[in-house]
Amino acid sequence: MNISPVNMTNNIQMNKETSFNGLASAAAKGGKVAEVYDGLIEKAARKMVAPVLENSKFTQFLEKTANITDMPNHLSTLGAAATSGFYVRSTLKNDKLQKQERKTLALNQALVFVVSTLGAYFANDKIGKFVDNVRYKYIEYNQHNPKLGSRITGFKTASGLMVFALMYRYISPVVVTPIASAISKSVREHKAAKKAAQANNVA
Amino acid sequence: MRIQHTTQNLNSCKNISYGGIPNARNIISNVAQDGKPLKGLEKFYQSEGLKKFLTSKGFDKLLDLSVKNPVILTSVYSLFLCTLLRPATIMALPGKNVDDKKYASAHSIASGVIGLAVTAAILTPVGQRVKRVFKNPAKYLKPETVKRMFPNVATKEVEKDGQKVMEIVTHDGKMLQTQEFENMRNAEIAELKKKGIYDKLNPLQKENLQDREVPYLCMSNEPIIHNGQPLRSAFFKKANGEACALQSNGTPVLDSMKVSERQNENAEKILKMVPDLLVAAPRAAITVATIPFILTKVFGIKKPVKDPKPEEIKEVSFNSNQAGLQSFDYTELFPGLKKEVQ
Repeated sequence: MNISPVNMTNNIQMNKETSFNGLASAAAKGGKVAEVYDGLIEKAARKMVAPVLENSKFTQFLEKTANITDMPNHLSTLGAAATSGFYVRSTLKNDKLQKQERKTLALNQALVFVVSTLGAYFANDKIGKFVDNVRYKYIEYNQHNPKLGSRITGFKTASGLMVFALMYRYISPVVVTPIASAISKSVREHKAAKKAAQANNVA
Repeated sequence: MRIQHTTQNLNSCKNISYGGIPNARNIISNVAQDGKPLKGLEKFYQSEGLKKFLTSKGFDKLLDLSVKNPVILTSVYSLFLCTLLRPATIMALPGKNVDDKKYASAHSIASGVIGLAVTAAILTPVGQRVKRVFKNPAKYLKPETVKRMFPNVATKEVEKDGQKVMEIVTHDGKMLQTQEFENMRNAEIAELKKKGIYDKLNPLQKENLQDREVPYLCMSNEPIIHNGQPLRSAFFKKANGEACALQSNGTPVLDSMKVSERQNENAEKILKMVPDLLVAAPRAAITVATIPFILTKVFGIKKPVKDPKPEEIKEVSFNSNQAGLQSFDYTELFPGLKKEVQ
């Protein structure tokens, strides 16, 4: 025996209003510019997004990563890796620096990225329980809000992204980089002193 | 009798999805073990300040933004960090070279502003087009892909040009059988018992569970519609974000649906955030190119005239690194930096 639907009509109505009428009215209000923009978005959805979702390798990747629940955090890490990679590459190509200095600086930058990443994951893990608690209070205060379901999903995404951004955009350059620089400077000075001592001995 | 209960309970679920149920809060705190307040923070969780913050429109907007476009959220937040907090900290930190601090601050401000500008210009449309496909997958994707992404979508085989092809059909919500629904309920009770949660429930809550009054505060995602007809039902979610037992049409959410739902969430995040990775290097290059402008406009340092000696450049580069510049050699873009610093 089948179970009869209960509030499908409401749902359809809600979806119609939010997704289709909304877009159409926005395009109507904005005139030709909005129409062109809407056309571009439509074309991009067909030509760029749909082919990715149809791609078998992307599907396989999704199947393998189905249990990953904190994808935005990993993507933030990849973003930081790309930016750090740019700076490392710039340093290694900087012909105004000596070869050894380039290597030291590049290694310094790479290590800063690694330490910051570990710090971000550690901090995110540590505040997880706190965020969960706040989320339950949010649910308690907003029980009658129709958008509650979607906003709860956003809770974890927002907290993770904020922790990672705080680490990469604030703590890393203000705290981690100077420490790493001080360490590499000390190593450089130690090496230079050792070389000088060896040169003195040879002389 | 069982069906009667079921029908009543489905109606409860209807209410739950949009309005909540009176005792949902108590049930949540019992069922969701994670909801226990951390030791020492009980007062904070009960505070009026937290309540005001969590019920503010600004906080709701922040959560909406994190769902719709996480990259924009990060960029706006980074703008605050990079244009206010980081420069203020760098300038306040003890250090000999004030100009180095200014360069570090200029880099920070440039990265915050350029980050948001690039995101707004390039990545907002990306978020919109991804959303469009997920809102109406049958319009953009092959039926096989839609079925894989949403297993609760009904399909049928039709003949086209002498070949059998899959076609998506809309439905009236009658997809899953009562027996499956019963099995789901029993499995849930068994799981609660296994976790030791069932024994902690009060008699009313146990009765609710047995009668299949959904023991969760359920919320629905938006359903997916195709040509004005339901393509699949909406999912309900538990307070901890997991998929609830029932769909909006009252039929159970099966494991395959939960897995595909997670895959879809990940796919959406990847499609929205990966373009951000692709623009990371050009964005960093534009950021660096903007630094001289910010140095001039914000910190009043004018572009120097004379080229420095190579060894002087090297020295500035190291100093800049110590001030938190990520070791980028600004003298490349700002010839004569050393002279100006002195």
